[in-house]
Amino acid sequence: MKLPLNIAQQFTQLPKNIEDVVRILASRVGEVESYSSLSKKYENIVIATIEKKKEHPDAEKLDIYQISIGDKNLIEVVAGDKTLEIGNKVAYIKPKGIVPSTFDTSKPFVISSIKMRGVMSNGMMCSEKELDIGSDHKHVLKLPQDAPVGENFANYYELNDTVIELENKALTNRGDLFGILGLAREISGAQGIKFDSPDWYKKAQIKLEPSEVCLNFDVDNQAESLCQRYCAIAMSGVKITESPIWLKSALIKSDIKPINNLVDITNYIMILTGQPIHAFDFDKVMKYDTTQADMGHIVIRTAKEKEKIHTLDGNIYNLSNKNLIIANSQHPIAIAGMIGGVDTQIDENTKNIILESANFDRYNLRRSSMELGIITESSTRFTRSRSPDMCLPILSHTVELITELCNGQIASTLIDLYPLKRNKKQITININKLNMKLGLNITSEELIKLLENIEYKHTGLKDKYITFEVPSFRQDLEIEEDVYEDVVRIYGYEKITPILPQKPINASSLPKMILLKREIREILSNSGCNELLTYNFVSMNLLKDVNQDPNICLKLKNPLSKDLELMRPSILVSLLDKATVNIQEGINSFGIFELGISHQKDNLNEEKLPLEEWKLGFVFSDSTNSLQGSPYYQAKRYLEKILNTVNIKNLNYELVVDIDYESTPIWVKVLLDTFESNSSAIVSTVIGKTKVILGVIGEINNQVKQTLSLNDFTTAFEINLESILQTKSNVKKCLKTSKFPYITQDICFVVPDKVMYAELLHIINKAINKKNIQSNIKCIDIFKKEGSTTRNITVKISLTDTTKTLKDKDYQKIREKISKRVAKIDISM
Amino acid sequence: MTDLGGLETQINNDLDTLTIVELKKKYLTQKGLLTKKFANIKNIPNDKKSEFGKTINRLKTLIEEKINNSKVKNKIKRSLRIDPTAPFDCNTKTNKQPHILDLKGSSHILMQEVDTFIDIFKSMGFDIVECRQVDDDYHMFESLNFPKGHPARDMFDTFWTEDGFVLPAHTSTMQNRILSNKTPPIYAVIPGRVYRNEATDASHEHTLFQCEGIYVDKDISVANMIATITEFLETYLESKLEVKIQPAYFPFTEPDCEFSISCPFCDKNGCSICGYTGWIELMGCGMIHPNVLRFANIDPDEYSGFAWGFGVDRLVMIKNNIPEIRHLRAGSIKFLREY
Repeated sequence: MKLPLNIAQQFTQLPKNIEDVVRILASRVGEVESYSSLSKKYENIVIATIEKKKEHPDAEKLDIYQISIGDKNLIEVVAGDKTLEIGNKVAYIKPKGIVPSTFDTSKPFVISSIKMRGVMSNGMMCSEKELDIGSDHKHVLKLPQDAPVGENFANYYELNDTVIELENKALTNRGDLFGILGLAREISGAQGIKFDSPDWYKKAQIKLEPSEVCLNFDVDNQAESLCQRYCAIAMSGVKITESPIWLKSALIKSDIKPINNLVDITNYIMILTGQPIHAFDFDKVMKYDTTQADMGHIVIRTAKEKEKIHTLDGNIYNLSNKNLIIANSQHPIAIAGMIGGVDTQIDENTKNIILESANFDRYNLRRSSMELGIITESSTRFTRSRSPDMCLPILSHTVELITELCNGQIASTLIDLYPLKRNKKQITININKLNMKLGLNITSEELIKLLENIEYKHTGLKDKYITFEVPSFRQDLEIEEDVYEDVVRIYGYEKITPILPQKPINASSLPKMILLKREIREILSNSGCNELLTYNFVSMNLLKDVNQDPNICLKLKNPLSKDLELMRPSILVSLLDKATVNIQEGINSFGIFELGISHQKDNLNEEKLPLEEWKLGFVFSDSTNSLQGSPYYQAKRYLEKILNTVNIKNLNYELVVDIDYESTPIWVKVLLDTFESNSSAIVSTVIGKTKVILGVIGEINNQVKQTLSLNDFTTAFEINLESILQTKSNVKKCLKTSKFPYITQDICFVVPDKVMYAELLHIINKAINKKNIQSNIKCIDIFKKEGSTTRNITVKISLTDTTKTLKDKDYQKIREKISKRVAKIDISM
Repeated sequence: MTDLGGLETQINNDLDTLTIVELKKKYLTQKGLLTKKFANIKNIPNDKKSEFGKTINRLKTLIEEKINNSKVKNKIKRSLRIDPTAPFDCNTKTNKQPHILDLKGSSHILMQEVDTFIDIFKSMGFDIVECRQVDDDYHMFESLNFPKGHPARDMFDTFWTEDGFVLPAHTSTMQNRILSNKTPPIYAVIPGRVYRNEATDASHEHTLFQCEGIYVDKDISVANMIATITEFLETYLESKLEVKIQPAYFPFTEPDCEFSISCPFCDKNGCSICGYTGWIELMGCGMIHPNVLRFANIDPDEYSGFAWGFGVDRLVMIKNNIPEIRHLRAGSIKFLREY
């Protein structure tokens, strides 16, 4: 919303200093986006008169003009507008001046003296478009004959003004602040000055009577729920001309291009009050109606399917039955509240008009505006809440201006369809509650004065209760709290003394999940790994590259781009993508991880929302050959570091190639093909008798490695932190330490391929499990001869007794026990 | 423009000589020649843009086809079956067995900061509740007093999924759950990931981290709100602050305001961080709208409260001198290791 200060000044007293106005608006009304002085924009532009004209010797389309800016010297300027004649008054930019239409752009165009086809041109005569006051760019703007030569153009055009632009967002529910009057009222109130709206704005009794009814028409509102009020009146004998300069300048300052006196008046009323007014050409409404009726018909209705309208922006829109339109008895003549149709547009031959001042449903209008992609000054205002009470007084003032500036006469009776006329709204304020909620200490007198300054009407006072009649132009005031906001805004937030609330000293504790994530973050970052944050959005291609099923993903209806259209079904998708990035950046060896949430389409929770479980994704990659064997084991090393620290026992690893695919949960299923099935596993633990899957771990699928240009040694895991929390044991066992020495022996087992290391370990543990015996078991070598079906596993077993010194023969006994037991599954020592 | 012809010859040569990985790296990666060329499109005159784009795309397809074809040719080897329960693979030398590598680890700078202020709020007695990352219309809008079709919904450029879920554009999406769950007094802080459907640049991201706070009890005032938020910020930024409150509009608060602080980096003298204004606009806040309380079955005549929400990314960038928001989620280890 733009606020030209000279216009606001007509309605209230403004602080002298522009910075003070800005400060008031920012602290009392809403965010100020920018403010700029137009005199700067029009610096170096003066009014000149053409004295001489001759043809350019070397260019048919150009002429050479000698112009005067009031002194004796004539200035030579080259221009390409053949319609210019001696005696014309023009706006002339001196060399070093800036073309106004480029003033606010990143590359302002500075005029200099240049040769045009061999002839020096000193400056430029401007078109409307170049002056940023209209759209004509073909012709140099011809000023009225009485324009004073040598005068500063901005002065003459009343553009020496400052325009403040407010951020629309802060005014979303304040339709009244989309008019200069509204903002002037707030500035006035903030200064403690009582604002007085012009009489026409406050008028309760409106009389709009024709001297003679010569234009007959009726209005049929078939969509009362979408159009609360519709006022219309016909005027005859209007004379369409250019607008006077004051009117043009008012529009230019609000960024609206002047068109003709009638259209300009409707726009002027809009920037003043926030109420959009539309004018239809009466004769065109009739002519365009082929039923040959003897009177005009205006119908407010929703569009029929496939109805079309050619609008003033030059487009043709296909309408639907959700769009509210204004029609004659046959065709749409405007999209309600948004834009008028070309077929009934005002032009220089227009004589008779119908004026519309209406109130349309903001929600419907907003939806239509989004659907059709039309945003106009009018739709911007209607989508804020506008008061239907203001339609008539504002229409009445429009009629006055048209009478004055276009010679129009009222030519019909007033039509005012307002079926659900509202009573004046009263809101009662409990001043104690107000002071409590705001943390202020205002007296009733202060409150009444403060609100009366912005035109509330005080209607009752009883003890602590004060009743106000809400101004009819305010649509946003519904409840007491709405009034509190007016009070604290106008009074000033800075007058509140901050006080910390009185609160019991209750201790709060962090959720277990946050603590777990912190713990993991600490373990991994202390182990040389880097925590990443990535997007939840991934592309179809990336999913294919990592072998994950796109059909499992939630898909965005309105993604920013194709690359960001799916919600990731696992954390690893994003991490593998980032692994590639880092390899390209030359990092040879790294471990990266992310704590995040992934979504799977039909995996819903009890609220029928996508289930959200925190996951840890981890990727390790190495190209330095510092590690050997299947990369699976490196991921396992990191995983077990975490699981040991958070105290999860009884881990169980099952090769992916061996699992029952169908019975795995969906978040596991989606991950499986990302891994090599022979060198990856599902890791689980047991709680009570239930198996709980923790996640998937292993070597990245060789195909995926190739597609993403990953190192051969790339390994990963993804685990479910909800499962960790569920199985994490908080019981810590205190081990007695032994003061007697350990006996250590390396024992080599020959183990058939089908027997897993875990089984061997299990048997060893069972065999040495004896009261008072403590053990350390560590695998130190696994050797397999090529072609053999067995492997040699060497294990270092250290034993001690907590009650006595263990003797060699004791150790020997245990050794024999182990030997006997492992023999049962074909293991020899 | 003229050198596109040159580029084409170069590509044709490389197609036969370079490996797939090399081809990809040279042309298709972020710093690849084709990608760079394409980024140049903004400097191409409008009438040439379409032709330029088509040529680039044709060259890209040429390389991609080569890559795809070779994938079919090179049969992928399957890895051999392993014993998943063993601590390392067969025949692994002792010094090449799995071990924790000596690298520079790091936790993400954003999460470090989040942890810091979670601890501050905890010390002030707030409960912490994490935000959902996909939600529904009711929680994101309706229960927060945004009726269907309300223009204020435009303030948030929201993502929707095809199944009709909404990606929260603010952490307030948790307000109704927290308020409905408990009888007042309620003190809660909600950290979480939110999304905005807007084009990204150095200071705009579609994925953001936000932190919301709500406080509901008897007799809670705007004065309490200002004091609570100031207390947190002064602890977090470790300096005494001046605050400035400006009116704003949010459907779920009444009154509603924008909370700014005096720039702690230049003592209000003006610096690049505060855009030479001396002030930093930090968050939206306000008194919880009676309708929002009613939606959660809390009687607004008995209780009142305030809420605030601020973006964490900007705060983290300011505090750590990070020039571009995009660094935060680009996943570059070189960047991450700096913090």
